[in-house]
Amino acid sequence: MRRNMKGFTLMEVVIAFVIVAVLAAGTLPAFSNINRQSFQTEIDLNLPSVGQAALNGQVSATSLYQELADTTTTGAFELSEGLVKYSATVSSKGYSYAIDTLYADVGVGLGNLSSKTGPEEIAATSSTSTTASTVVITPTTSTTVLQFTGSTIWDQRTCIPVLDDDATNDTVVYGDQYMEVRAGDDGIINYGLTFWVPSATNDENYIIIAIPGNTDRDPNNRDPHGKDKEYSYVAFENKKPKKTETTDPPPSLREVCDSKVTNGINGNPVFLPPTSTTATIEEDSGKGNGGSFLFPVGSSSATVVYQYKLSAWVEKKAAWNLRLSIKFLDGTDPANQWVRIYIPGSSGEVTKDIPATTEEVTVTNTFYEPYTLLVYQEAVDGLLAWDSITFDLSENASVTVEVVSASKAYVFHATGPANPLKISLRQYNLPPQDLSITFYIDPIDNTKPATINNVQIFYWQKQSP
Amino acid sequence: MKKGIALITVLAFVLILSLLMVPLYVSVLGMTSTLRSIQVLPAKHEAFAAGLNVARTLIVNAQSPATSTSIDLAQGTIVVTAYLSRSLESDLSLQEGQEGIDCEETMRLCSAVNYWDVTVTFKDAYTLTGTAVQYVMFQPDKDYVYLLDFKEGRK
Repeated sequence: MRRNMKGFTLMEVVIAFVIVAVLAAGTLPAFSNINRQSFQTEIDLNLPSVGQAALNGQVSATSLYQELADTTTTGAFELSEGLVKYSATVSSKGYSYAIDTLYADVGVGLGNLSSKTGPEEIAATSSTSTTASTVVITPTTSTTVLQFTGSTIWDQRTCIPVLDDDATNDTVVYGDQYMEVRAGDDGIINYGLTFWVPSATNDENYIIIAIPGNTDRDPNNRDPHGKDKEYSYVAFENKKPKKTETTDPPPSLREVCDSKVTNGINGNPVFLPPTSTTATIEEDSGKGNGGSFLFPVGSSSATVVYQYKLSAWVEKKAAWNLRLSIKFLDGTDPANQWVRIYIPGSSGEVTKDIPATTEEVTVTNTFYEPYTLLVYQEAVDGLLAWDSITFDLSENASVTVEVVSASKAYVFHATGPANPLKISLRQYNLPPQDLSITFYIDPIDNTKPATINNVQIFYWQKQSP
Repeated sequence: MKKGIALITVLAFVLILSLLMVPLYVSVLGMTSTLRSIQVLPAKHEAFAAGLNVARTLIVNAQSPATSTSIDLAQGTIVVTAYLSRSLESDLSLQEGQEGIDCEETMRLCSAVNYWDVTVTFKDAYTLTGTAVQYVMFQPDKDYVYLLDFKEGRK
């Protein structure tokens, strides 16, 4: 018999809650986004004000909003008939806002150029002061350091004992698939490293040594200095690790600088051929586990780069210990006192071109650094007012000009090219006192030159009777 | 007797709800409009400031009693017009060496003070009007131009 039920069953209530929950879940993405949207609205609303502040050189205002505005760029462009357009662009989170304004330095009048001066009138004449000659941002040169994409280096250091006169100041830079050891200023490299050499597809393991043909050889290479004083050689030892992991050297591999081959150079040192194409040098099959090789005696004026492919005789010898003991000939250009060790990438092959001459080695880029120019203009006798500053600004130049008068600073910003660019001071009514002007010149692209020149300051002066 | 709610009741209910939503909609619309107008303020102020500077150059370099120019700014185009409304001529006979000048040829040398009606229009939607007084100083870049009584009025 069916009962006459009133109210909802638990199941109905649960289902109702589930339905409501599912519907409510649809609003969650909107709520999760609400902060970001609010922030975006704040940006949209404030960027015009930030742009206007930047336009008027209110650095404090733009820095106040630096959390909001990613970039602020301003520029000045001279239009016709004395009009100068100032532009500012601010952007943030993908939203960009640009604003312009115009200034005219005509119509504000100053002085009286009449040749006949009445008794009440102050006679004024336009004067020009050239205060700065051509200023060019001087380039600085630095070597491009590429990312070392070679193998794992376990250890590396300057080796002890040292050769005579060794200042132990070897330095290391890294390039694409190579590390370069430089001699410092003593002409001597005495360096060791242990590292992993990935196997090629044919299970071969090799590295390539590249060295300028400027090396010297010890005339008494057996005596009296002893084995450790020998030069110039490269010695290596290689081991087949039991595990394939590359994080640690195998226990059988000797410590860096302490390899067996270091002491074994008096065994069967091989004289390397003077060649600018890669010569394959296998380890001594009879000895195994590496070998020692003497570089050919070169010439201090040589520009050739010798290349040697040091190859393990037994396959899959991936753990290497390398020792370099090199002395460059007196008179060798310090730029040519280096040795490069090309270590294969994960493919087990050196895929990079190795320079054949030293001229090809140094990769340099020219950078143009920011420059600050300070101009101090003393108030001349009978100075009535400061009129304007003009200068030529080249392409790629960005300049911020700070004019300080009576402890009050005025900041202008402009980007080139502009010939000439005029900053009118008349509307600021600067007092007739000394003027300090600082030009902060910054190349927009620091690989290209930027110049500012022909800086002139115009002022009004009481006319001589 | 039928149970349930009549269609007319439902419609009335929906209508009442809709009417209740109107003030809310108007409020939101008002807020949006206010935000937009606030956003426009810097652009407008800077455009008007630029327009007044343009007016100076227009007046100083004027070759006729009516002159106008249009300049594109990042925030929009401004159109500046200036009409010479009144001109006070100087009595050149009082000045030594100026007696032979023909005042019909050039208004510059014969005017002492010029009054101009200036209009700055931004984006064809906002207008600034006022008066400019030009004191002619015999060389264009030495003139004084005073800007007076500028007020904004919607076009």
